[in-house]
Amino acid sequence: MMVLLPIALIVSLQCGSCSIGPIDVFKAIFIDKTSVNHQILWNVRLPRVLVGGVVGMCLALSGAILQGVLRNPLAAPNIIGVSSGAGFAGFVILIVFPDLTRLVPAGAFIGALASTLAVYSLAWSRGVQPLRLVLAGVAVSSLLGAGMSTLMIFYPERVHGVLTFMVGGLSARSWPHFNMIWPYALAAISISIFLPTRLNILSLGDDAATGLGVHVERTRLILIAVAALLAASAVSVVGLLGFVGLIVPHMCRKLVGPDNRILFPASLFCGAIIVIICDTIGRVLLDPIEIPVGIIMALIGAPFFLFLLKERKKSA
Amino acid sequence: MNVFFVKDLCVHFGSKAIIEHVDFTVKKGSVTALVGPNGAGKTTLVRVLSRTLKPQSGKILYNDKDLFTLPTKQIAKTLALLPQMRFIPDGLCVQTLVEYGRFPHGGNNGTSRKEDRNIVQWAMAKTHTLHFRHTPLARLSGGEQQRAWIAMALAQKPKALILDEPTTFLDIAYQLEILELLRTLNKETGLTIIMVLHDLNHAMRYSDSIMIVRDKKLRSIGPSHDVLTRESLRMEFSIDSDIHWDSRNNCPYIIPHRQIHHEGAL
Repeated sequence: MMVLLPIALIVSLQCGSCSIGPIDVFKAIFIDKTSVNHQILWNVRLPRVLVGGVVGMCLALSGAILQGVLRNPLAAPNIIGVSSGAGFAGFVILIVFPDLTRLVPAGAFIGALASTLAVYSLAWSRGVQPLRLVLAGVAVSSLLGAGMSTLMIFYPERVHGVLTFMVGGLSARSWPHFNMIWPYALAAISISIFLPTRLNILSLGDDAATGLGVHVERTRLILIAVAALLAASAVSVVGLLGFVGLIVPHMCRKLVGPDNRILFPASLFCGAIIVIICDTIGRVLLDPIEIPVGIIMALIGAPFFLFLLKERKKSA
Repeated sequence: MNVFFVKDLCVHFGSKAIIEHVDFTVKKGSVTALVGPNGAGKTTLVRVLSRTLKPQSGKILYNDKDLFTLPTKQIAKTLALLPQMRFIPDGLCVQTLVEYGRFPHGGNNGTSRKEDRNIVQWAMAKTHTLHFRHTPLARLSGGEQQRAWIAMALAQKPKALILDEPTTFLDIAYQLEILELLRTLNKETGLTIIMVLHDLNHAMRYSDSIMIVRDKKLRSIGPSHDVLTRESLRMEFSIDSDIHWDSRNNCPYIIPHRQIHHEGAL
């Protein structure tokens, strides 16, 4: 996987409306800084690919953490309210205050963290049980979902603007976006280096984890906070890209097993690779029309995931 | 010297009381068996001692320090648990589980230091789990799983061990083997053991002290021949029985005859 990531990166940089050879890619980025190729690569493709990679990492790691901490294979960043919070905040800005569109990422980020906090405190009762958290998440999400639908009904003429935000896309993402998310991503990923063993132990059950000296509530809070931070920073930049956080950790679990010490890095790499590849396909397939990466991911990812599931059954 | 000192302990869930005003002490190096009918509060009591459930009121001292203010990782260096409620993650193999037992001692993944590796080996050898150490836990039988969990607890190298029904799911040979193993560890290393048992004969044979818990209260505590008498078996367990002396194992032996239906009870 570590080999695949640079390959995906380079291939993605080559492809586009105007394709550039692998050697020219290096030349254009590092040596010949005046060429047209440099303009295309440096200002358009490179930041977009980097944003895609970081977003993929964030969402995949966030999903891996949440599936472990909630002991629920269906857990994904949207289950703790991240997506619905970001979505609602994004909708309000895009539909009600269309003049403030540039504030969408910041608003979505705050919305995501706020709704996660709401879900967490609603689930609290002498500690947070995973099931209560999942249920509170579903309830808050459907409430915010109703809010989004209401907005769409009241402002039908502005619905088009929110569609791309809903599907999730990397179109026109550039350096400002990258600079916005990498500090959060780096912080959250660095914290997560210390967490996999604790998450492994937590998955044995609360009582067994306490017996082994893991502070259950504190660890759970930290894990959820890290997952929320990762997902919020990703969602704020690309919109409601749902699929990566659910499927990539599962794919990785099939490939490398359930040990979070290996699963975390595997999810990071795999998430980046998949988002970059899918975005590349989306750009090239119907050129000059761009297909949002969220759609490509569901189209390719879902069948691939079903294939993995089937393979696993045969070998077991 | 007391490992546990418990004073006026009360636990309730919502408005429902589970444990009311319980006092007792557990001596260092002793084996204590908790017995009592279903729903009496045995599991709740051991969960409180395990610090996995916080009581509403009362005092619990562990080695003369407040159990709920000590850092949990520090407690885990000397106190190991075998809880009843636990999960088995998909694909987790026995050796990995046993390695988690080294977590409180700072060996982050249980394999970093030679000492950790030796202890993990020792724990698996003691519980006869070595030959399936690479098998996923989920594919093992109930008894094999139980031994793997006990190996994990032993890998913590605890001075005290709390077990909630350690012999459940085991066939009779392994029941004896586990209880013998615990007794041996107790004799050889002075390990203090507190366990919930269902089989009264096991409790009498393998413990120094028996606690009868029934109806939210600690009904009696003491050596088996004082606590388990024909009269108390009739009162607390609703059985009519004879008590014989097992001269081979030097302990009393209960032969139950029939259930008694108390007037107005239940």
